Parts: sequence; C-alpha cells; structure tokens
Amino acid sequence: MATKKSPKKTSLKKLSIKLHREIYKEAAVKEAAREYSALADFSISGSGAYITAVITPKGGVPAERVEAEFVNMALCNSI
Amino acid sequence: MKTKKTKPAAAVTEVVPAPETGAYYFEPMGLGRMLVTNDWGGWAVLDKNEFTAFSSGKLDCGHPKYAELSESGFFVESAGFASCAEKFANLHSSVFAGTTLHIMILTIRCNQKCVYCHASAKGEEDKRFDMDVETARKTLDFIFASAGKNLVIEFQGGEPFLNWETLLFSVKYAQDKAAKLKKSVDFKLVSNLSSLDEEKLHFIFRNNIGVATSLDGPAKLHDAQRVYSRGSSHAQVVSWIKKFNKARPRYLKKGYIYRITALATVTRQALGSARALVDEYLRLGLREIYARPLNPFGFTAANWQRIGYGAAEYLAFYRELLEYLITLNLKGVKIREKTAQTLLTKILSGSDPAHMDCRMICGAAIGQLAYNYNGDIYTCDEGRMLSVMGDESFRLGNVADTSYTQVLESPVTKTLCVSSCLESLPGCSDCAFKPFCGVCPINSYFSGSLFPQKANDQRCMMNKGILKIIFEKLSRPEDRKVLASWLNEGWYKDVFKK
Amino acid sequence: MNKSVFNLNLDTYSLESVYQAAYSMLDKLYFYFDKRNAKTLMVEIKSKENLPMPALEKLKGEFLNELLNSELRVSVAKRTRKVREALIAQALIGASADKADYIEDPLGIALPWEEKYGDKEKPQKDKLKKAKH
Repeated sequence: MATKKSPKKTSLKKLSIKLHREIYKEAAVKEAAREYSALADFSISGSGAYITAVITPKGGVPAERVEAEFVNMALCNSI
Repeated sequence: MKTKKTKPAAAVTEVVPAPETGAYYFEPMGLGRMLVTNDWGGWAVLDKNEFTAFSSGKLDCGHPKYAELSESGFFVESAGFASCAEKFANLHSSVFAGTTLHIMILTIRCNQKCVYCHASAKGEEDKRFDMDVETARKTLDFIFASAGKNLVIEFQGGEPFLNWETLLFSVKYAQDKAAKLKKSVDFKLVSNLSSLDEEKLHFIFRNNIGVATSLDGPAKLHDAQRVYSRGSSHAQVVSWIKKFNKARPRYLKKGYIYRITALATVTRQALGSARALVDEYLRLGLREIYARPLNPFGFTAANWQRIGYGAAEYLAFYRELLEYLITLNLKGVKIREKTAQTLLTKILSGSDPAHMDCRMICGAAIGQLAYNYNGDIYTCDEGRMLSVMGDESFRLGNVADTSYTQVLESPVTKTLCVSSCLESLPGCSDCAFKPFCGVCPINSYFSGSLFPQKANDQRCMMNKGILKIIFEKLSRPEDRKVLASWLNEGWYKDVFKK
Repeated sequence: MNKSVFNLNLDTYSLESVYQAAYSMLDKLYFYFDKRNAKTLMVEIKSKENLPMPALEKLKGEFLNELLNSELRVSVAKRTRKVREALIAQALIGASADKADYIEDPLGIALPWEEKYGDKEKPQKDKLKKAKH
C-alpha cells in the first residue's frame, strides 16, 4: 500500500536586517515596508545608529528576494 | 669688429587660464564619446580627450571645440546671464502659457474594436455614452473661462463622428465664443474615418478642423489590430485619406491649413515591420509618421501578454524606422517622424513644441484638460483613460459645478506638478537629456509609483533611448542635415502642388 | 545569490554620488550599504539575475565607473548651484523675481479669462486662497 506523503510546510523564515540611519532614512524604510506589504509583514524598530527591519514573507516570493527588493526601495526612497 | 652676440630676452608668455565651465550634464554615447548638455538647451558631443580637457577645466580658448562650446553656453564668462535665462524661458515657454489644449470626449461609443484601445471604447449602439448638447455647452463655457488666449479644442472618442449632432453644435458654439472673447481657437479631431461621409468631410474643411487618424501599417497588420465589424478598417482609412487629399487643394485656396495626419500604434506584431510601415505611408502620400509606442491603459492592459514589449524592443524598431527615413530623405523622398520632430524642435531650435508630456513640468491640468462625455473633468487624457478602468484618482470635478480656479488649486494638480518636475526628480535632475525630455506621472502611477525607480522605468528607458539615437544621428553631418530639414514648416509643400 | 562586498572611502566619494550611482543601477543590482566607520562605507551587491561571480565583478566595475561619473556630476552641481538657481528664477518669474510666488500668480495663469480681459473697466485680480498642505 503506498504511503501518503504529508504536504511540505512552506518555509516562512523571518529575516532581520539592520539599516544604518546615516544611509537609510526611517521614513523611507517605513514607506518601503508599506509598498511591499503585499509580499511580507514588516516590523520596523530600532534606536541608535541602526533601524531594524524584521521581514516575515507571506509566501510566493523567496524571502531573500523580498528582502533585497525592500532594501533597494528603502534606498530609493532615501534619496 | 665682432659684435657681441646677446641672448634674446626671454619671451614673456601670459598664462591665460582656461575658461571656467558653467553647469552641465553628461551622458556616455559609446565609442568613447560624451554628450554634454546644459539647462538652456546647449549641447555638444565630445570625444574622450575633449571631454577630459573640458571636465578638468583645461579646455582653453585655443582648443578646436572652444567656439562651439562657448556659443552653446558652456562657459561662465561667455554664456551671458540674461541670454541663458532667455534661452531657458524659450525652451520651456509652454509651461507659462496656461491651459491651452482641451480634449472633448464626444462619445466613448466606437464602431471599431482595437486591441490597444486606451479609451476602453463601448459598442456603437449605446448612446448613453454620448456627450449631450447641454454638457457640451457647459464644457465649452468652462474651456473659454481658462487663462489661455490661443486654445486648441481636440475632439476625441470613441469615435467622435458618431456624435455628429454635438460635434456640429460644439464647433459653432466655440467659434461664436472665440469671436466674442477675442480668443483664437484651433480645432483638431481624432477619428478612424470609417463613419465619414461627404457632408462631414466638407464640414471639416469649411471649419478648418485638423484631422488625425490611425494607420498601423499594411492591411493585414492594421485590420488584425483594428477590428471593424463591417469589413476592412484599413480599406476605410485608405479610402478616406485619398478622398481627403483629393478634396484638400480646393479648400487650400479658401484658407484650410491642415494636412491629414496619421499615427501608428506599435504593437509587438509591428516591431519587425518598420520599413513596411513607412512604405505604406508613402504609398498614401503621407509625409509624416508618428510611430507611437503602446501606452499601458485600456485594452492594452488586458492584452499585454499578446501585444506588449519592453523598451529595448521598441528602441530597436525605432532605430530601424529612423534610419530608413533618413535614407529615404537622402534620396530625395521627404518624410519625417513626429517624435523626432518634436524633440528636434527643442534640440536644434531651442523652442518649446508644447508637447504635453515632453515638458519640464507635465502639462496635466496646467497645460491640458480632458472632458469626458458626462462633463467630468480630468487632468489629461491619461487621467480619463484610468477612469474607464475604474480609477478616478485624476478626476478634478465636473463642468456643472467646478471652476477653473478649483481645478488649478486641486491637490491632484499640485501632485502631478511635483511628480513631473524634472528639476526635483531623482534620475531626471542630473540627466543629460533633461532639457529635452518629460515625464508622464500618470504613466508612472499606473506602473506602480508616482516616483518610479528610473532604472526600472520602461518609459524612461524609451525616452532616453530615443534621445540617444537622435543625438547619435546629429553627430553625423549628413544625417543632421536631414533631421534639421524636418523643422522647416513648408518642407513638404511640394507634395500638394496647386 | 552570489555577492560582492567592498569598501568605499567617504573622503573620496560623497554619499550623494554613491546614492546616484546605485540609483542608476537598480535595474541590475541589489545594494546593501553599511558604515564600517566614519570614513568607510561597506557596499554589498548582488545581481538581480543571480549571475556568476565573473559577471557580478563586471557589474561591480560598472558601478565604480558610474560612481566616478556621479562624483563629477555632484561636484559640478555644487559649484554651479547658485548661478543655476538665479538663472532659473530669472527665467521663471521675470521682472517680479523678488517677491512673486505661485500664490500671487504674477502671470495670471489661474485667473479666469473673463475676469482678466472681460468688459469691466478694471480687471479685478482674483486672490487665490492659501494652499492647504
């Protein structure tokens, strides 16, 4: 009798990235989070020299790609 | 007696510092060449050594390129403050002219179904989508209240001839108002020509209405993308272009000034047919071609997988088209391309062609307005196109209850000004093509953001690409002569000998 | 994804020119910047198309070239900023350059036609309300 394989659980690993305040403006980071809210949940926090963004992908797009696009957008918004 | 030889006195050489460069922008053109431009429309193409000397402040008055650069305003001393300010004002004069282009959508009914219809046209029978006479009256009252003295009223659709009654009324009413208020009004009309008849044709001539139509290429291509339920849309447009051209000389004597113009909307299916497109235009005696890329609105959005393409593909098509046109011109066949002519007006003559999305600030609301069949006012035709797709973000009000001042004060108007002001946009503010280029903020909005990343923006890539091709051609004396001739107003008068 | 990491000296390259150069290559690269110290900017790049290392190094070379171009643009812009602003102000508002702004509407762009050129003896200028931000 063939065993039924249990479905793979989709990996939704959280990513955390630190963005230096002298390079990435906080308002710009928050705006980028809003723009990518369809692809991931973002938690923006941090004090001192760094802004911390915790990214929880919603699935469909690889986590590293969401992170990379988000950071590019944060840079773009900071200009 | 020997004379004592004396050493000649050391020659005193005066060291004249190289002139200081003013503000300039630059863009690599390939093969080591660099395009340099400035805010007052000056430009030059320098080779590697010339640019090194120029950018390091070592290009002195004796350099072969000095005269050209000096005349174009690249040096602080010789540029002249007042002269540069005047040149800047000329290059952008339409920004100061007020709202001059008014697009009246007489109906969104149409008798054709085009794969890229940006108006998302409705079927021919549903007259709910016609502008009635009373709405036309209110629209024209609004138009004539605007600040511009020289107005252009452009009738569009759908197919505007399907609302003949309102067209008749609008032209008469506008003429009367213009006379009373001492304004000038030019009429333009965009039509597929398939619902023309002799009465309408002669109405166009008698009332000095400029007509633009669509001709996408040879019959097979045109018919495939402009579907006409009663047969060949290509046959219709060809037939009426011929009738127009036959009748026109009689009305030239009576003061009719326009030639019928045609534009080709380039789909993926047309990308390999640049030459066939030009040949079709020549066959019909058309001496101007506007090879317009797809805009993303209306039916194009739904059909993109089938008909769409990226900037690189369009630019390959455009290069082939332009090179073929130049080759023909060199053989004595006069035909020009409209986008090039618009840009060359800025590049070669330093004046403003008043093309609404080729300005330092887009013409949305401040240069043009669009009035839908129901009297709703939009910032521009693109704003109206978005409304048919369900997005009313660019609606400014209605002619029944909105004033011209309210339109200009609207936050939507201000937003579009800010998001199209090249001086302040990343990627535009330091671009070498800035003096000659423009942004459509609604295009940007539709693509995802009012402030797109320029490197990823297809429209920016297209604009830059076209300008690069043009400057490349301008660097070749033979090609430059052809392109310069495209600015002469009467350059193809010989086609219509009386 | 392959990545390339290198440092830039902020005494040599301004942050503004780094922004400009990166902005112009957002179609090809993912960028991540960090500050190692006051004078050193760490740059990490990855290609959007997950290119092999030699191709990524070539893109790095393009970025560094673009950085030089950007530095020149920033330098020219800084040097000529005041003259440009004065010229453009002169062109935009002509003789009333000192005081006029869009609220005063010196060119009468927002003035309805009839009010400006109608049959009245003296045209009454329509005062625009202050724009709400």
